[in-house]
Amino acid sequence: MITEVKILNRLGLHARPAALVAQCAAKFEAAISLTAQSGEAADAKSILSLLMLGAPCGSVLTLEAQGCDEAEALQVLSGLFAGKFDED
Amino acid sequence: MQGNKSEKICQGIAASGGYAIGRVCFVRHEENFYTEPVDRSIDAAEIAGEISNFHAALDAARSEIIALQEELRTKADATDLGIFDAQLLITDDQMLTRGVEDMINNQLKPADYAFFKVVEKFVAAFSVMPDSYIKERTADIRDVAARVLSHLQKRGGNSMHYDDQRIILAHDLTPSDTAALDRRQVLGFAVETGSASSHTAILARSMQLPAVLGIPGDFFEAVQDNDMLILDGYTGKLILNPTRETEAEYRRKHEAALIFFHKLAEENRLSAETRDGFVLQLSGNIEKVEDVDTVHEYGGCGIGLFRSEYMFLNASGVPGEEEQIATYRALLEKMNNECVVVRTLDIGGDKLDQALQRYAEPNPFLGVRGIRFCLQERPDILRTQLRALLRAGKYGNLKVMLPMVTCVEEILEVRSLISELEKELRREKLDFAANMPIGAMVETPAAALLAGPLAKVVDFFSIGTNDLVQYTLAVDRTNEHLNYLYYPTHPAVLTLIANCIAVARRHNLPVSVCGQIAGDPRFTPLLVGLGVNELSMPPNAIGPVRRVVRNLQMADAELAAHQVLECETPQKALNISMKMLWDVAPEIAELTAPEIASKQ
Repeated sequence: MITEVKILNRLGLHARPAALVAQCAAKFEAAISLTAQSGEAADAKSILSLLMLGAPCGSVLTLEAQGCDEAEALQVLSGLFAGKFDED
Repeated sequence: MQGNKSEKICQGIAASGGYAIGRVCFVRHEENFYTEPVDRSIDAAEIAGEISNFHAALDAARSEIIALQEELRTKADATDLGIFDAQLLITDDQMLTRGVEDMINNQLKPADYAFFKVVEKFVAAFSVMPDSYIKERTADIRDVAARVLSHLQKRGGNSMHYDDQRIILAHDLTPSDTAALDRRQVLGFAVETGSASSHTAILARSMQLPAVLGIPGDFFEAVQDNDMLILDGYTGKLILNPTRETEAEYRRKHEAALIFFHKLAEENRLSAETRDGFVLQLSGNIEKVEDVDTVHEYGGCGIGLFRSEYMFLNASGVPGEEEQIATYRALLEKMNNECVVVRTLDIGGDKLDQALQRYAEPNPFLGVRGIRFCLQERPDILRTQLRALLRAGKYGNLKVMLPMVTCVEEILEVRSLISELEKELRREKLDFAANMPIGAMVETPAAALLAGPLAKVVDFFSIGTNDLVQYTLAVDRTNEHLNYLYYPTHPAVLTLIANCIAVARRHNLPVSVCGQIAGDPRFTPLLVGLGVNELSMPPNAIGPVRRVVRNLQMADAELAAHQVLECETPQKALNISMKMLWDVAPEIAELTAPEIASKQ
């Protein structure tokens, strides 16, 4: 399953939101990835991998999940992005 | 081994007296663990061991971070804790662990090297990112990495525990690092940062550990673990790889000092009376009730400074009224009827406490510290403390001292709080000591210049010279680059001290000195001559100071003090006091540094 998410918080996908995403993703069975428009992909369960994306505010990422709980994973994770990771 | 290394001498700041002769143990801080490990190859048979070492180090780092997070949970802002979540995730990160395992498996690298290389790959990638916020996060990754590396390398046998006692060398030791030193393993320590009046130095003296601070950085580069070192905590000298002759000389000096102090101990029961009959009170600066024993051992009369903040820093949370009463009562009962001066909570400056302080200050020494903190930030703490002091007062001879006073209103505010609390206690039918003496600590130029008006509202003065010097000369006492300017005998400082003493005498108020110079025999002739009633110092400093006092003639000391006040430079002023010290107690003069700035 695939959906698109946009980074809305001012500081972008820095350590704290990356930690939130990784912690949240780790709760799901599904393999979850985030891909930047440049084609660079990150394992959503790895904070280092997420940080490597260095996604700034305004960037659009492709969120993809594959596995038994993929629908729920996408719903919860895109919720985090939409809620600006409780920042701002 | 000693033959091919030449003797190297370096001058630091004498921070805590004593000689230490022994081998060096370098203590590296965590950030110093973050250096590239040796690149070597391992045998295929070692792979499993390295991988399990790696996971054990990750586990250890993880437990440390969790413990730190727990500790901070009560102290810090919850959003800041997210950083530790990020750090924890890094220790769990699949990309990282897979990368390291691959490198161990396929390239036959040891765990520490593989880990370092993989981390550096991430760090390099983050460093070139355009977003500066993410760029800064490399610090987090390095922080975690340093933790993990420290465990990996300890496993390699780089443990800090030695069979023999060592001299600790470090770039920096925080007060808590210092407090954690094991007295049985440590002969003394030398660090690059700090000054004689920093908290680290004060702790060293109270732990009776010889210490030298402000060591030049280039000296560190010459030192290696296991090198022979002589540390002279009296004069601030370090001698690396001493020749046989030098070492023998210092062993003799060490021996002689032990004998001297042993003999000095025979005078512990004698009163600190000048040859012409003026009696000085020599009391102790302490922070724990059990320190009373050392004060008694050295024959101190009373406690001139009980630093109550240690109750707050050590206990879990702010101690309640009953808990505080128990401490003060134990203290007073141990002291019989001798005078005990309790300083109210003195937080701020370099005594930071995250549990109590609500925000970081750009200029903590000029910030909300001492009585300001109690009156402005936490009147609840002051209230509890004063109530406890009032109630404990009936168990002995208790006086209360307020830190960092700069104006009369601060005293009046505390006084009105006290009368309010007295009414409250009366209503509650609780016993308390009425008319408890309240004193001001004179540690700001404002307080010293305002001694006249202050004298009308306080019962005693206690001059805290460490801060008085710092504030008068605008010299941060923790900044080692300014040591050359930190002069307790600067004419400006002496003028303030003399003014305060003169005012106190006019108003018939007792005045004591409880700063570092009170326990430094070099300044004893001067302080006695200026007319202080009491010198309060670390207990182990009492012996030498008593000897000096007993050998002095008040008339000579007064004359010297008069001359000192005429001096236009700090060194001239010290020379006069030193000359007198050489005249009356050469055996003690020998154990002190002749100059102020670099060796103070």
